[in-house]
Amino acid sequence: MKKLPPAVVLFHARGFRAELFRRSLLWICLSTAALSSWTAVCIVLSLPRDWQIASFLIAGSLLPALLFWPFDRIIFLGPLREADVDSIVESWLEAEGPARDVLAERLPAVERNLAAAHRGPRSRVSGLARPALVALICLATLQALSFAMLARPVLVWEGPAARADSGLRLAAEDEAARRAATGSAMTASPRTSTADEGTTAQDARRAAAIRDIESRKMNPRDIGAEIPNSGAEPLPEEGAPAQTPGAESPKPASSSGRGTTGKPDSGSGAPSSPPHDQAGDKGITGFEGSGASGLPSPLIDYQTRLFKLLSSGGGRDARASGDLGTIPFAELQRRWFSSFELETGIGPRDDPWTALLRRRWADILAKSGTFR
Amino acid sequence: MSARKGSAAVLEPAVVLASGCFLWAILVQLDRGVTALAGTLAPNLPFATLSAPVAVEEAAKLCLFIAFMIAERPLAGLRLRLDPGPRSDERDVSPRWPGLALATIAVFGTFENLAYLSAFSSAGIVGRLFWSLPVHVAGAMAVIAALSSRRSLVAPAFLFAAGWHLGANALASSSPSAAVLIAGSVLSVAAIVVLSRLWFRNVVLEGIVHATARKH
Repeated sequence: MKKLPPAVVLFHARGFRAELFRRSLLWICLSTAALSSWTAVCIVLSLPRDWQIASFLIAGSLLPALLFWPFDRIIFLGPLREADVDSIVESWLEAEGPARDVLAERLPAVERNLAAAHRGPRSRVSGLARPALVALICLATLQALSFAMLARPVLVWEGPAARADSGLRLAAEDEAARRAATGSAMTASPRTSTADEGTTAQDARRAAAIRDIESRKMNPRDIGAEIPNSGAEPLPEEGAPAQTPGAESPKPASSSGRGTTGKPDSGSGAPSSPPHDQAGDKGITGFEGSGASGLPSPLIDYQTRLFKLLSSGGGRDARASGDLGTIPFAELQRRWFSSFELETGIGPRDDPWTALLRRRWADILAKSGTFR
Repeated sequence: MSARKGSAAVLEPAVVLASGCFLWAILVQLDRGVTALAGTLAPNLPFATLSAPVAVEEAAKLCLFIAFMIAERPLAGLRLRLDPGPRSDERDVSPRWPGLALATIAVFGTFENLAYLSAFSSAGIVGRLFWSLPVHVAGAMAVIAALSSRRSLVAPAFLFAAGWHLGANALASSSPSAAVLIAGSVLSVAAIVVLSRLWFRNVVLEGIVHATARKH
């Protein structure tokens, strides 16, 4: 077997690299066209994301097949024959005897020609204009389709959930969330928020009142009159007249402002308010604590609240399909609205009123000398 | 890349596709059986459970390469009958089986990746393009290049392919870090680049371009 001249080997090596480069560009064009087309199909048919991943796997796995697909002989011999017009190299490979020596004398000149021969970049991208054009058309079609259907550019299809990110779909969901929120405000009792705020404010006022009592060493009998809405009736002083049953009691903090309905406080004597509202939630409608609820079922209110919280807390990724069954929905309601204390086993709350009574009783016992 | 016309243009891709699918289907069954057998015979040797399927897989690939080499002449005859052409003396009769065999391995890797995607539905499967596919391709390139023009190097090439494959499998099954996976992927791609030089010398230069020089 004859050993090829080094210049010929280098010449073919350059051709091999150029061909690999050209095939790489061809693979980019073909895979871009194929993936763009397939992504468009995925968008139109709302195929799962796995179909898009599968297309990437196929396109990537076929790169070695395209790179090393059988090379045609003419790819290498064509440029060689252009540089070696007299076919000295091929003749020398075939020649035997004296002809071989004659051809060998002319080989150095051919080798110099081959070393000087340079394949321009045009040869590396020859035949790629049409695949590149097809790839661009497919890519442009995909972008036009994604803008039309999803209102944003798409290069990789992320599955049917990606449709939720589209402007059209979001606008509809925002409208649904707005309706849910409005419905909640219209139907739900504002007791949840205002009651919490009121409880916090009451605790603060109770603590302040206890500190005041502690400082002034007041009679525990007066504590009930000092602590607003403490739940305990002020103990009547000896000889003092009993409180009139119809007298107005201090208003709770929750009823002093506006509720979520925006209805101003109408006072205790509002004729349209039911009797229970005069004692607690003035001007507040709803089933909670009311004997005349306007709602057919509290389930509707809880459902509205659940969907509202789901929409506001879950952001754009969380959506309620409305297909939830009764039992899973009831379980979700139980977990969402159930008492935190019942589940976590929090210890008994240290009521400041009870604590104050306990301290006072201990002081009395200490002064009387019972434990001496 | 060749631009063959008519039915001849479909013949080779069809053969490659069918062969890759067949190889994958066969190896799925063989791997299960061999793994179960190795687990039964050597339950305390995890290396045997790991290496037995690799040996079977590389042996099956070697058989496929030899089959392609043997079928080169009938396949070329069929191709000529499908596409007669104007002048027979202008035909390219250089061996095409090395490229077809390597393309078959790529198709086999495609089916394997799709099977993994169906089993583990995750975008992380795309990482197999940089880990397992280069392992398959590098091993196949070494064996095919040896079969093409250096038959004495077939055994070392086979050992290289099996060892490369086994090492990659062992590393992947040991839950490596991301840095190790990236380093392994870079190493595999670098191995393909190095083996492409061997491919050029053994397959392209000696097998295709100047095949006539082998007569002397």
